[in-house]
Amino acid sequence: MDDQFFSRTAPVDPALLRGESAAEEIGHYLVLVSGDEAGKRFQIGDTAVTIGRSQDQTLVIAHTSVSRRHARISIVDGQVVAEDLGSTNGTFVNGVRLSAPQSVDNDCVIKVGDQVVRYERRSKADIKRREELDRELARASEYVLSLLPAPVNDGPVHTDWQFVPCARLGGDAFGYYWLDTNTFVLFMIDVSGHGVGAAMHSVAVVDVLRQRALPGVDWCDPGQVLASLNDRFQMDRYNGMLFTMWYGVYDAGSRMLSYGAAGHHPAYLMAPGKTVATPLGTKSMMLGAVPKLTYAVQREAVPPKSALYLFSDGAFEITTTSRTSWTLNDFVPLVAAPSQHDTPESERLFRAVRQAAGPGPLGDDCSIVVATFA
Amino acid sequence: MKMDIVEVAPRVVKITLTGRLDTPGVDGIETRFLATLIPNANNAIIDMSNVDFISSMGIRMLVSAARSLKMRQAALSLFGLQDQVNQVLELVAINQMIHICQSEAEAQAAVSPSVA
Repeated sequence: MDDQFFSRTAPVDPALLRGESAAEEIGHYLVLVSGDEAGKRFQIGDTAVTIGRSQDQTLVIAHTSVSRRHARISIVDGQVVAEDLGSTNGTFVNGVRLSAPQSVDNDCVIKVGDQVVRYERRSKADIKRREELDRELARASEYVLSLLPAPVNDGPVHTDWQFVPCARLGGDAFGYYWLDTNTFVLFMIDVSGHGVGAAMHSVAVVDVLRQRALPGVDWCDPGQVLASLNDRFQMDRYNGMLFTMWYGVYDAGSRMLSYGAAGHHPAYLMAPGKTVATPLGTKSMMLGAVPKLTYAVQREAVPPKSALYLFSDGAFEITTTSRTSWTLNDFVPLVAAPSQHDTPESERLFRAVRQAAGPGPLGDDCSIVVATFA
Repeated sequence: MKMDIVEVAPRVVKITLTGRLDTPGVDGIETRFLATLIPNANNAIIDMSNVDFISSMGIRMLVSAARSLKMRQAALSLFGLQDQVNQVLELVAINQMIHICQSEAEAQAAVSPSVA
């Protein structure tokens, strides 16, 4: 009976039990989750990976919370093992401080001081596919970036902005230009969804605006522009895509700003001497959802030295370091906070968002445009 | 994101959503959500009382469903909206294509085929 049993029994490769085919070559990787190089991947090979602040470490993390020689990740009998090297601030695996070498499971989080890396066990083919996708996203991101206007530092309207695409690339885009010597146009778009498709949809809309390619439309009338874009970009012709938009037209002669919003949260106008920013918004349907809609237009006087803050939802839909979710109401007080000498307003705001969100990439594109009126 | 479906009347289903209607949440339910409603042209009432966040992806899912149902002479209504979710849906004027109701009974009345 024993012979029969063994003749029907074969050794099982543990990889097969994990759903990996024998043909797949498996690699072990550390992925940076926090810091400026978030998303960067390091392969753990036959030689252990040492992590530290010192330049002679395999994985250098130049952060004050990281010791010069902080932790070691190695492969022992096919299992990845993490070990603290007597660091000051400790090494944590899934939140537990290491007091001895410990094996780590796929996708587990390793905290080195304040910095976070993730261990991934992946097939090399998967990694190759992901790297190709990342390259596509990076190219699309650069393309969107190339279409954004340069900051303006002279004339009656100055501008500065931040555009920080998320890892998966969202659908943010914005623009501004002088329609004529007296009329300044400013807009922001946010396409629902992520990836190259959403980014290219936003590029298509920006292109229509840049080319003024909406026949018969008065570009000084936000209602006409939004209604025309809505009819042009109906979701059934564009793979189910919708987008929000804020569009404003500033008349430098009368100092009046006409604006309309389609599913977009308000922009905010901060006048000198005020302690609260004025919301500039209208409640209207996103673009592409329902044809033949009309869009309301509002007007607002713009006092000298006022600043207009226009931003995408990625600026406030963040999860903070204390694991709470921000809303628009958490972001708006930042607009009224004191400006910082020599720091553009958009940069001040982005730093505040970045600080609240803590380490790691943001979940959505974050776009902030600030226009300051002479 | 969790999704429970029950038929509450002929051609009317009630869908109870629980969790965050953000990108991961939508990714987890969108196919089943649309497959439940669209092919059979079911009217639907959505219990939103356990949804504490909605992003543009969540709005897109609801708008897509409402648009497809309208072409099939069916409709969608939402009830039990938490304040924050209600504020977001008000901002995008979603009531132009989806009924926003105070109660389940009102939501059901809004989508039920009228009795001759």
